[in-house]
Amino acid sequence: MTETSFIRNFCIIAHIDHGKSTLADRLLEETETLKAKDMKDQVLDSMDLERERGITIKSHPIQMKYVDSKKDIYTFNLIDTPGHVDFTYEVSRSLAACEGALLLVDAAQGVEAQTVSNTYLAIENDLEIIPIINKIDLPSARTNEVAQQIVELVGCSTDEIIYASAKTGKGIIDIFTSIIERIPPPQDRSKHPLRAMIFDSVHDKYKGAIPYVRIFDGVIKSGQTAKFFTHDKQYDITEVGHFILDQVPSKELRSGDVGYLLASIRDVSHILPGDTITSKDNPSKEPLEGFKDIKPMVFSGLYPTNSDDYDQLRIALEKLKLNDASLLFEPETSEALGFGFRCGFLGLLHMEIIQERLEREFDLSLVTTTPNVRYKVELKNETLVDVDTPAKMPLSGEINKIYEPIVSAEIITPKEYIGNIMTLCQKKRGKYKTTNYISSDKAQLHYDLPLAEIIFDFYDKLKSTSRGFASLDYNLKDYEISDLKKLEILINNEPVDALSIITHSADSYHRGVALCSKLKELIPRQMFDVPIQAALGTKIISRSTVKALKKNVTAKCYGGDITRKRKLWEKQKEGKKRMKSIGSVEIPQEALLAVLQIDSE
Amino acid sequence: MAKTNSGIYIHIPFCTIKCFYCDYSSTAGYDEDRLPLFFNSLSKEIEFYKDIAHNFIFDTIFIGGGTPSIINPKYIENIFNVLSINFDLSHATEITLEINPGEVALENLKTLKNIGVNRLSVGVQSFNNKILHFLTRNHKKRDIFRTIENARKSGFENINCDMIYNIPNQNQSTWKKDLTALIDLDIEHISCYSLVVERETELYQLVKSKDIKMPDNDNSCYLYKSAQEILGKKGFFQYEVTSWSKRNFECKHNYHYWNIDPCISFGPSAHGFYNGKRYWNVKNIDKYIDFISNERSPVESSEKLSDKDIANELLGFGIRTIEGLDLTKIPESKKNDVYFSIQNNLKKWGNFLIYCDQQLKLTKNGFLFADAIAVDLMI
Ligand SMILES: Nc1nc2c(ncn2[C@@H]2O[C@H](COP(=O)(O)OP(=O)(O)OP(=O)(O)O)[C@@H](O)[C@H]2O)c(=O)[nH]1
Ligand SMILES: C[S@@+](CC[C@H](N)C(=O)[O-])C[C@H]1O[C@@H](n2cnc3c(N)ncnc32)[C@H](O)[C@@H]1O
Ligand code: SF4
Ligand SMILES: [Mg+2]
Repeated sequence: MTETSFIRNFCIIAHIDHGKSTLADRLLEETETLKAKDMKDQVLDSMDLERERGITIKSHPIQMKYVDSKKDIYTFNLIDTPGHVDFTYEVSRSLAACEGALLLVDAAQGVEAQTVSNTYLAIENDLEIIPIINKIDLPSARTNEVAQQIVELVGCSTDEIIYASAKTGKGIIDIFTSIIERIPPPQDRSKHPLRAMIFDSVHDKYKGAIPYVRIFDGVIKSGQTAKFFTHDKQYDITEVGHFILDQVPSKELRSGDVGYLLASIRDVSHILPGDTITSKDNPSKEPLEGFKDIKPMVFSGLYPTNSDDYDQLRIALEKLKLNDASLLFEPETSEALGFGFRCGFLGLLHMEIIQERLEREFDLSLVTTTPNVRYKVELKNETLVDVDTPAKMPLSGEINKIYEPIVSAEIITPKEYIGNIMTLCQKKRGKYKTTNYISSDKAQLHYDLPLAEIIFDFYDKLKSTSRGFASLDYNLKDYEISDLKKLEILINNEPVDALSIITHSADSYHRGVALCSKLKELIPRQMFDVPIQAALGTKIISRSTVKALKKNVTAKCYGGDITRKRKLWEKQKEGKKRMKSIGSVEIPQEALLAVLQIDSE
Repeated sequence: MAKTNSGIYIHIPFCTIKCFYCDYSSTAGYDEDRLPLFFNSLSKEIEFYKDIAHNFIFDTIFIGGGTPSIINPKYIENIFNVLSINFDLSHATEITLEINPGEVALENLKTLKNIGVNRLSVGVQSFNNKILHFLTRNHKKRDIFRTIENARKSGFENINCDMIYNIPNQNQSTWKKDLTALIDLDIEHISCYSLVVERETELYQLVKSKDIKMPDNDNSCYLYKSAQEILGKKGFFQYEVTSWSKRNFECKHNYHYWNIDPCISFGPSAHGFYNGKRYWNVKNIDKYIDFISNERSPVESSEKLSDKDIANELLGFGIRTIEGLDLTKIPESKKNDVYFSIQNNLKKWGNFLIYCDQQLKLTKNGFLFADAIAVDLMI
């Protein structure tokens, strides 16, 4: 057991790719937490998807023992966090378990959008911030300039910044020293009634739901009965422990500790991140301050390709939700696609990742519909309804006003791209607010932008117009009245709810045209002509036709063709399994997301 | 185990020029001095297989390419000798060799006939000089007539002509003229292939860069149907998606492919199949020679077929012939899956697919959709 004064709880925060997980590698190596044979690059990124994409998706807690020059033994609880804007919520929960944060800034890139947003989150949580300039080994490092940007952002002095390279290991000892000297140890409140904050959870097939907790007050050990603030169900604790890559049991967790607990919790809804656990015998009266409600930004329908898999999909979603509290879902039916779920996501990357995890980890085959934002619609009778799918948009005769979500966006960019970015924002119906300078050549532009524009192709356009240098952060701000229309798509003369979109009046015509021609490309030929139409209300504004398939035969055929042909056929067959029959037309998954592929200009 | 009827394929990877649509393994031109080395390797490769040879009844031999007609027939003769030493060829009743119009002398044809070749496959492609030029072919219309005439003079009584349709700038009337000219040649067998844009050909690059536009699906359908109609009227019986013949002149060797029978294949890039395993040789001629001169097998890779693979191959290729697929050949473990798939597809393809008495076959119109139906039938 470590005395509280020898515990340090901290996380690593930064913009995406600035080297958080690589720095975690060096810390783990230096403390010999992992055996050399278990070590690999970004070892904490343990999910297959994280390794494939080379990004962190989940926060990863891990405990280390560090012996300093005076031979004192410290316990470090480190949480590596993701950097992508979609996962800001993940960062904010991790911060709640910590007293300090290592703020990493890439020496070549400098301060970027999530550097700023994560710094503010850390400040809001009263964390001690240790600024570190990483990747100083890069030839393109602009260390002095970046130092100035950090001073400006954090309000520290240049000597408080550590210069490091997570690649070469330079600066690592300074980082350890600063962790000990600058990050305050947690308060010892082990005599108080138990209060443990659930900051995350995972689901295990055998052990049930496993909450990740930070103990603020008291002591928790097996044999106690856990009581929660958000529901009445109580659980007997069977094990508590720390994270050392895996979960390692220990005798108890005391005030200041970070760890997990097991209590055979089968009902996943009983573990809510932000909830406080106390003990039945000596309960605390007040919960700890919880988390802000997460608001999903984009919504899309998830449908099993095989309708028999509906229940499996529901179970899978419930399980994933346990690892990812930001995932919201409710049952939905689509005329075209049958029974499925409307799901809320934090952004498009989040959406992609959830789909991929459902398919991989739960062996499901899914069809996804066009993502949408959530509109508020005021009806003629003055009731206000939420609409997060075009299928549910009331008839135009019933609508008084439509409000759309607006985000306040911060774009950080080298000065030379300001002009391009302003043009882009204007095209995307942005309202200019202010500009301030992070350093003499790096500006931060503030815009109010419709969220719907951001989820379509704003990010890609921003990157291409700034040669990759601009970065974006955004927060939901409020709702504003907007002139929006529902654009319906008819396939074979039937409206297909899963394909309709809500769009600004000014864009509706060219989006309709672009969608018809994109769908023509994406829908394979059938045995008959398939007309595709785009309609605003009863008016058809565009049409195209997928011509009937008249012939489809392999030309020649010799020995070598056989394997090749079989594989080709089998691959096409796989593709077909992902098609949905809408009426008698087979529509592939890509076609349902056609709107994401059209150039909205 | 009962011996199965099987084929032998020999790949001769040399051509006079490389046609711009062709992705078969062949080089334009060759070094006369290196031919003995190449054929020695080929002979040696044949010897590698002598121990398994007795498991099969070889009833067809196909010398393909490339253009085997451009090399001195003495090499072919030598290969036949090596084959007959190592394999029992007493059942080999169909021995085909591929030739190009204008690229084989009368005396060579006579030699080929004498050494046992009894069927010729002629790469006619078209009778229209403009189209032949577009296809970058080395021959003109008159070469076709001369070559066929010489073949007859040499005693060949079983001649196939390969034709290509669906060629840019080929209209319906040029194709109909081709078909009429073919009929006038009075040959025994006709194959009509729709021009396929294969990756790694010049044609592919030109289509990609939009310098060439391929005709659309409707056009290709029309041309195919006119072949069915015109050839049908003149006594050519369509017995497979791309093949027509006079009675009893069906190509037995190709049936081995469609029936998923064994076929032992030799030469660079050759693909063979026996004991449930598909194998393919290295493509590169120098590597091929190198491997063999080092006593190593030139097989680049192989694949053991699972029951599912076999079922899918049978479904995809079996339905191409007029007799259709004999479903009793489907591996026992996959029979249920296959029946289930057939039932599902009868709804969609009922007009084109006939299923009765353990046979699954296409109607004449069904031939038009052989690939689309194959995809849907896959298990
Ligand atoms: N040259 C150099 N490259 C580094 C250094 N630190 C990290 N990198 C590289 O930067 C890339 C991103 O590193 P990660 O550690 O995955 O970054 P991250 O901040 O964890 O990224 P996310 O978790 O996706 O936000 C990898 O290719 C690392 O090898 C460094 O000090 N020097
Ligand atoms: C590979 S060639 C070998 C025989 C001979 N060298 C010749 O050209 O006829 C065999 C046949 O394949 C056909 N073929 C080759 N490439 C093709 C393609 N891309 N599309 C359709 N048929 C093709 C031609 O009809 C050709 O006659
Ligand atoms: S089509 Fe025939 S002649 Fe032309 S390159 Fe191919 S194999 Fe040689
Ligand atoms: Mg990371």
